[in-house]
Amino acid sequence: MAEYEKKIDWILPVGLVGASFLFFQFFYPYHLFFKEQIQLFLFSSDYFLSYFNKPAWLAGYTGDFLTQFFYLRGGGATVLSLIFLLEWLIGSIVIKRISSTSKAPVWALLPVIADWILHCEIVHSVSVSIGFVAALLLFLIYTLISNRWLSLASGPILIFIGYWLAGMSILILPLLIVARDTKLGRFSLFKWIVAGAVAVAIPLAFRHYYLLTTLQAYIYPAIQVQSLLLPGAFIFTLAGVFFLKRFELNRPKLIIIAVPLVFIGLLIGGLSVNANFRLEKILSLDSETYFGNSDRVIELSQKYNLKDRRATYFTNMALAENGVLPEHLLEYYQPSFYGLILPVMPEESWQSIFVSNEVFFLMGDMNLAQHSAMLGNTFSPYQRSSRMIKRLAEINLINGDTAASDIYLRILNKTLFHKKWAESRQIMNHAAVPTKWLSEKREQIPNTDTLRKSNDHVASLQFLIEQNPQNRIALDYLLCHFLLDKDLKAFKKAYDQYARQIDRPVPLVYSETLLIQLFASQASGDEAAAYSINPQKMKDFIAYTKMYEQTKGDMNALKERFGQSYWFYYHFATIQKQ
Amino acid sequence: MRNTILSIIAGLVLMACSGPADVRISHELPPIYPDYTDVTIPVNVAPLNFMMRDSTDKMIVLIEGSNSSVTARGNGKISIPVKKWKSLIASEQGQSLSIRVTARKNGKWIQYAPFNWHVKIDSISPYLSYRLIEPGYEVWNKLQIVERNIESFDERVIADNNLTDGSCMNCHIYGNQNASLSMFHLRGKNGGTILNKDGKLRKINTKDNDMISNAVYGNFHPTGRYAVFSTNIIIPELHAYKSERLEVYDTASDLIVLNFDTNETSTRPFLSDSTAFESFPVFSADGNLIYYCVAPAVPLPDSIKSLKYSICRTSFDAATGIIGLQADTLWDAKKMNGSVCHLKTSPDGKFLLYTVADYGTFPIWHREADLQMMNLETGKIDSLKVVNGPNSDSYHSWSANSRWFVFASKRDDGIYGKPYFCYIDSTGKAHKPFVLPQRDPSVYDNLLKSFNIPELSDGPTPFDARDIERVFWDQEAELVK
Repeated sequence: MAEYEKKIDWILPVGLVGASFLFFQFFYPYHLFFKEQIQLFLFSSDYFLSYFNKPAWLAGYTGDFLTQFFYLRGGGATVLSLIFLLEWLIGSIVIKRISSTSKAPVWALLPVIADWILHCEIVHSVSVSIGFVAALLLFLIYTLISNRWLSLASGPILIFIGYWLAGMSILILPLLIVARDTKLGRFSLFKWIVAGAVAVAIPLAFRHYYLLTTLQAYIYPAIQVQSLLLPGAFIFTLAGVFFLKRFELNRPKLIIIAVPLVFIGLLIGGLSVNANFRLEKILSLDSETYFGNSDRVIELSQKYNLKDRRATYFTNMALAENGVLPEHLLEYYQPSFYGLILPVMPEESWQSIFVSNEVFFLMGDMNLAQHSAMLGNTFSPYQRSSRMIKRLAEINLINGDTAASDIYLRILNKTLFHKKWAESRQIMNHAAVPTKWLSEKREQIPNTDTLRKSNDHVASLQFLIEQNPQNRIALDYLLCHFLLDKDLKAFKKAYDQYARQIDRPVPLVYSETLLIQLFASQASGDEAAAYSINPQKMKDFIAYTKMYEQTKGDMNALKERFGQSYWFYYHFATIQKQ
Repeated sequence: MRNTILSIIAGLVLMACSGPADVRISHELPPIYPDYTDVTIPVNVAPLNFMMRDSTDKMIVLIEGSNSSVTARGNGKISIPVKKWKSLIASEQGQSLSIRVTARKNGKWIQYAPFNWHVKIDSISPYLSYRLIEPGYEVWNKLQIVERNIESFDERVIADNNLTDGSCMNCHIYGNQNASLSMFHLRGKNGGTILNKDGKLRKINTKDNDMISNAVYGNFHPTGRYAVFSTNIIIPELHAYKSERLEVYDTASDLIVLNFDTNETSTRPFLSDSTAFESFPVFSADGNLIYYCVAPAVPLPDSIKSLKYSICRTSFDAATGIIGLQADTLWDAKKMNGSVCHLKTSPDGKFLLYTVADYGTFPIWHREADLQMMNLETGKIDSLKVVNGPNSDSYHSWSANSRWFVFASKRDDGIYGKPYFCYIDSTGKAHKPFVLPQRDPSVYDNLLKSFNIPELSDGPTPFDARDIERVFWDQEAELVK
């Protein structure tokens, strides 16, 4: 083999793995953070035993163990690239065992590429990758058996064990057996049929034991059908090796060049289809919110300028936390009031429900926050989420419900990366004197009770403000709700009732809104003066009105100077029911 | 050299076999979880494994009876050997076991004050079914109805909504604690009330045109021929104050009786009256009466705290299926200043067990909700002080011999309900309850689901999740008339 050919055998895989690390570290890290947040790994015997309730217990346990490292910046990228390296290594060995190709290291890149593409999806788990590696390892065990009768028996046994340990990837074992036997000249139709039949039958036979639907039984530990692409890619690789054998013999350089080029093309194509960079941006806003970096959220929001309700949701929270929501509201995309609070209802996606608690927690409505967090946990893919458990612990800590908070803190004490956080909160939970943060959060919560529907946000906001008139976040959310809904009468009523008690200059968007309402109600000069609106703002309003009349309401004419004003929004934004 | 090695080995063996040294004697009870101190247990219960949540790293537990004893050792938790336990408890029926816990914390041994387990000859119905569900505010994702053998740690899933299109399933109840007579509701497009009777599974659409909803809370007639149900329009709303979480109320509710032989429903105007809310009906032990809860309708949710349910009863003729024409009041909500729900009559007809809260019809989120027991012969009410704990104590079910009942309690944390068992002796006195034992007691710490609607039965149900899947997908629902 030429020197350069030998180099390609390791340069390509190292390059690919290195590229995957760079990709996930610098272009796609927030998907990985989110994957850690939607699961919960506990160091506890009963938690370990729970994996036996379903197939693929080893793949599941190992995969979830590794996923907890996604919590670390760089952890996810490191874990995934090491898994890809392992997949390539074992895949190369398997391909060598079942074919005569000298390019096994090159061919083994295809499943790695498939797995890379699949890991761009939130619900494709590390367990699937581990299961795939385990299935290949079990095949390698099979290849060690030379005795004919043992070989006949071992196929079904390994498939049975493999399904128990690794799940769906073991279903390719019959095909690998056929390929291996063919290479060695051992034709045994009976063995192949038995192995194939066992592979098809085992998931069906055990699905009731594991309480799975037929589809779930065939794809477990995956929870989406697309994950079958991983073992499927390996089969496709074998097919490629088989059908291009002649080319490889006659024109090996073509294979060396063409195959990697095709694979790179597949990688680029696959990423362009499957990698959701828009979602990555939204997840960056979400995760930075979760990490408590509101300034970073604003910075990213300005950079991305996304026209997405969820992006607006995080941006609004960051602005509110910094006390500047009404100053900068309309500098960002606002889909009416739908970007203020995410409702919790059956029509909403689980991801939306998952993050819906954040705003309630911010404004001090602990009961709505708890409702959302509880449902966020319930509807998350695995019904146990480290992020939701932390939030539930915090909520009950703030409510002074020590026993309830302790449940969640005890759970987090059994994790690797949330244990320290839990320990610090446990000290807080049982401390005689609350910390500053705790005292401030407790000041926000209501002192009396009421009943409200979970999605009656206006009633909830009003109640919060009545309980604590200094709750500016709740006030700003209420006022922004009305003005974004173009309900100016309700806005003014609420402003008069609640906002005028707060000692601050009239925020930008409120002054713009008030001016419209004062104008529409033909308020007197004294009435208008009582609102202490900035005189420059009044001049701007007059200028807008003149320009609107002169241009006969030409949106394009008004946009440049007044595009971020409430007046522009009021005239031109159309509200679409979500 | 050989002698030296033998000496070392002997020393190690001696060290291992000898008890802990320098043990401090404490007069306090051990802080074990679950709290199994001084509880009354049936002779057929599985071992009461427990743990310590503090810095304990070694435990030695001596369980002593009058004739024999068992020692269990563990790190922070113990697992009592099942065979030895069975043998011990069988030999100590009617007696008390003394439990002494010695624990090592931060390198130091402490021997705690002993406590007792009072072993009753009266067995408990050996099977318990419950729904495992997140305390998730009336919504669900993954649900299971599970059956547990109380005499062991064996568990079996008898219905799993993963196999039934994610449908809600609730209220699995037995008739006469008989595993061959049970039902539960399976909601959704292919759903219905699943009736397990006469060796068959039937699916019944319990809503006719006149009813306000499908059947909700129900109870079997002792003959198994009928069931009485409430129909309810249920509204959940959220509290705003601290740990007050959810309030659920009915804006309408009525009662019906369903004849399983003919699929005919019947009611009375006073049981389907829009000026009152009727709910939680049960038959008396002899089947001649229907007990139920009723409250005058009030504007809701504004007057929620005025919504108080009384206990009434009316007659029922099993031969004809005819409900009585009038009702009398056993427990007056106004006089008693509370609100009742979850009525259950003991199989021997002596007692009526129910839940009392300050107001409303959904006590599982009411921290003040407690159990009470009325002696139906004398009318005397037992407030069950020894039974009730902090936080909600609510849904309950009797054992076939009327000596035990199980109830759902959130006493631990106010959020996650667990099944507790309570003994009622021959004089009608209640004893300290204990929680369902687990093979690993730390299960309760890591479980994010509540044990909902605990029900006792005398045997395993004759169906499982596979059967329910088949009924859901392949069976047409019968219609009621």
